[in-house]
Amino acid sequence: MANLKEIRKRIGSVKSTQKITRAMKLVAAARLRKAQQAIQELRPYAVKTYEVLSSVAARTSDDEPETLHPLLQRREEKNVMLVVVTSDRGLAGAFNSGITKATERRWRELEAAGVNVCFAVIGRKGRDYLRRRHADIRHEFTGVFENLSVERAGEIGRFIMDEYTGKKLDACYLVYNEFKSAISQDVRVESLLPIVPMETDAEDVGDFIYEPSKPELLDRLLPMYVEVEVFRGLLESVASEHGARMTAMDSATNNASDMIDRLTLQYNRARQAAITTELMEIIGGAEALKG
Amino acid sequence: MAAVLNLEVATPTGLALKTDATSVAAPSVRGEFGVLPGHLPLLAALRCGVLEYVANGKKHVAAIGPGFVEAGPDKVLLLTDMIATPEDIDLSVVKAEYTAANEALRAFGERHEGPEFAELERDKEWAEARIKAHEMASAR
Repeated sequence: MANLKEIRKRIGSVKSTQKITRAMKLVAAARLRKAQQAIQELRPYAVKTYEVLSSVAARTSDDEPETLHPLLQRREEKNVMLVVVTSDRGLAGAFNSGITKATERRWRELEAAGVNVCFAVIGRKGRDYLRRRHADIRHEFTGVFENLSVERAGEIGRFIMDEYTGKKLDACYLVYNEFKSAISQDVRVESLLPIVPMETDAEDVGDFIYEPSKPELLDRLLPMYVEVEVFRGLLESVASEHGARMTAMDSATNNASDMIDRLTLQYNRARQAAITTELMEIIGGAEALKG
Repeated sequence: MAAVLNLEVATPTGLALKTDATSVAAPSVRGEFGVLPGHLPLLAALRCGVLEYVANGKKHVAAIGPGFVEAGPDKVLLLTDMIATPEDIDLSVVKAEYTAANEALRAFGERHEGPEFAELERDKEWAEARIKAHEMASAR
């Protein structure tokens, strides 16, 4: 039987752990609200950008491959970059491990197909993981989540596009958590480059009037799309992270409650037992004196 | 042919505007252009300026930042980084921004290049667009 003092100490420590997890849950919930709003506001913009882009790109398909915009050109995939988005902090349930698992799987698949795989990492957890695995990390973007902005996403987007147009890459995928709801996230591996426009029935609509010319427009539109997509990926990830942490901390808090209940029961039993033993001893002593 | 245009303005901070309009005018990089219902498909790059549209018989204005516009027979879709309606615009604040941007630009002197310069130029144009939108709204 564990002694009373020990149990009391354990109850104390579980209680203080519970305080921490509860505080983390509340913080995550507050941040989640903000992040959720940000992603929900950006989504229509991203979708519309993609629609506009697709309707232009659909009308360029009959162009010669040489004149096709570099970001639309498809090449044989020999060098592929995975852009891995994780969080800087842990304690978020399966949030980061889901990403690392998906990354690992895609990495194996590509390598088995004879493709060179390199990485760009956003977020400390993914970086640590890939460093441990001795991956070819081309670039580490750190501190992105401390002040997440369109500009920062643009920087990342431009880096990827430079690598791509410099023919150092033939394709680029974004691995991130898509925000579904506070309690569920989906790991997505999404093609970022080359840009794949949506299938549209362009024949019905006829051609556009372009202002300025079509190539000039694509020159502006395509990079913007990549930057918006990166930004969206980052916002999705942030919202997912807070959601995952909130859920994880909620169940941690509940587990702590259960444990405290169990320990309290144990403590009371031990106390009862001690009292009983003491009583028995007293009664025994009194009986002996009576003789 | 449809008699109204479905006007939508999408920005990174949400769908800023969604309304039925009977005419829309916006600034493209090649100058102002107007869209009436039944317009041919048009795709244009936008610069900073003033968006005008008529909805429910009333004329509205808003300052918009650079972006793109896709117009069709029955819709106008604007993609832009920024939008401000006259109610959002605090004239004294914007004027201060405008002066600050102008001064910073002057400090650049002859070197009219680099990302910082482009950013200042954009700030200046954005301030100009908002001042203009405000004036146009209060003129009526």
